[in-house]
Formats: sequence, C-alpha cells, structure tokens
Amino acid sequence: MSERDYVAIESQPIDISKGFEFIQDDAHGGICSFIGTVRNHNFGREVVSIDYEAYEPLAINTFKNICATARKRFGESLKCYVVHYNGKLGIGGVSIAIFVSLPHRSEAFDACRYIIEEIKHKSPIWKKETYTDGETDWVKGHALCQH
Amino acid sequence: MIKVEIQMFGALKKFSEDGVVELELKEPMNLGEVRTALITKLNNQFHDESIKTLINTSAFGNENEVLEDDAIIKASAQLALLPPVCGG
Repeated sequence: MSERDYVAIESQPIDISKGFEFIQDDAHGGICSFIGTVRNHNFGREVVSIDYEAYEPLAINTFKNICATARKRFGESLKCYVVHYNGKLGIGGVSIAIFVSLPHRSEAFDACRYIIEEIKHKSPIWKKETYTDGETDWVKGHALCQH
Repeated sequence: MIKVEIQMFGALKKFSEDGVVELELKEPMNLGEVRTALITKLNNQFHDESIKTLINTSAFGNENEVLEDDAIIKASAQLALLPPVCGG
C-alpha cells in the first residue's frame, strides 16, 4: 500500500477527524470527503438499523486497488483515507468515511466521487436492514461476476 | 479427491450451517462447474427456488481477488462466494 493511503475495515465507531488529519499535505489545496450514514428509510420501508458484513481481506485489497487507480487517474500526489464500518449501526451511524486531498479542488471532487462509486460496485461488503416491524432483508447490490 | 471449502456471505449464509459449504470434487474443475455442483448440492439440501438465481449472480473469490468462472481448481482450496455487493 502506498504511504499516501490509509484503508481499513473497522468495528469501532469511525472517527472522521482521523481522516481529515491523515490527508493533510502542504502541497494540497483541495480536500474532499464523503461520509456515508445510515438513513431511516429505504424503498418505502422504515429502517431502524443496518448490519454490515465484509469479506475483510478482499475488501482491503479492493480499497488499495481503487486508491491506486484513482492516483493514476487524478494525480500522483493523491492522498486517500478510506475506512468502512463492519457490524451493526443505528440511524445516523457512520458506515464509511472517505477523505482525499490533491493540489486543486476539481481533481479532489472527482477522485472522491470515483472512490465511493468504485467501492459501492466492487467491494465485498453487504448490508442487512432491520425494519420497524422487526423484519430483516439483505439490500440488493451490484454483481461482481461477469459470466 | 479435491476438497473445496466455500465461505458464504450476505444472503447466501442461510444456505450453510456455519457460513461454509464443503464440496468434494473427483477431478479438477473450472469454477463454472464448481458453481453447478454447488447449486445441485444446495438444491437437494434446501429446496429453495432462490438458490440458483442467487448463486448465478454471485462471484467466486479468494482473499486477494475476484475469480473468473474459467479458473481451474486443481487442488484443495478455500474460496469465497460473493453475492451482489452494496458497500458504502
């Protein structure tokens, strides 16, 4: 992993201040972040919590690859901080924190958007919602297979 | 005999007792054939119509990468079966 990346799966509450601290760089004037949180509804159902499940070794590897690709696309000096939560979260809980920094804002916005979209489509992470009536369901996602 | 341990995730976990399904292959197979063998085994065990669709939309992988269906399993291995993902 590049020394300019920090990627992790954590089962403790995510401290977003650490992300802001990690991506500081005197040569960078643009910092962008994406913070994902648990909302109280999905497809018309009232959600009370989400259980996140990750295949950790592959998820970490995927995060590293996504950051490396982002660095090639948006700037070699890119600094990335990506932490995803694993476990149960109530409404408002932080499920993912992404911080990036680059010399200029345009590339920083693009890199941050690229990283979250790639994570959503490629990272082996799943979520099971629990609803107000006590029922649960796995959220439909993006297939990794191409057969 | 080639023993394959398949770790199940997400919606697939309900088709395993402890998150793992074991298959014994008589000869090397590609992952597409392993997939078919897994569907047959779980159909016989659970009689659940969702099994085939769910497994066919899932990818095999290991700790390092997602694997294509033409990858050959020649020796005993630990794999993961990854249903559609939704991180973030």
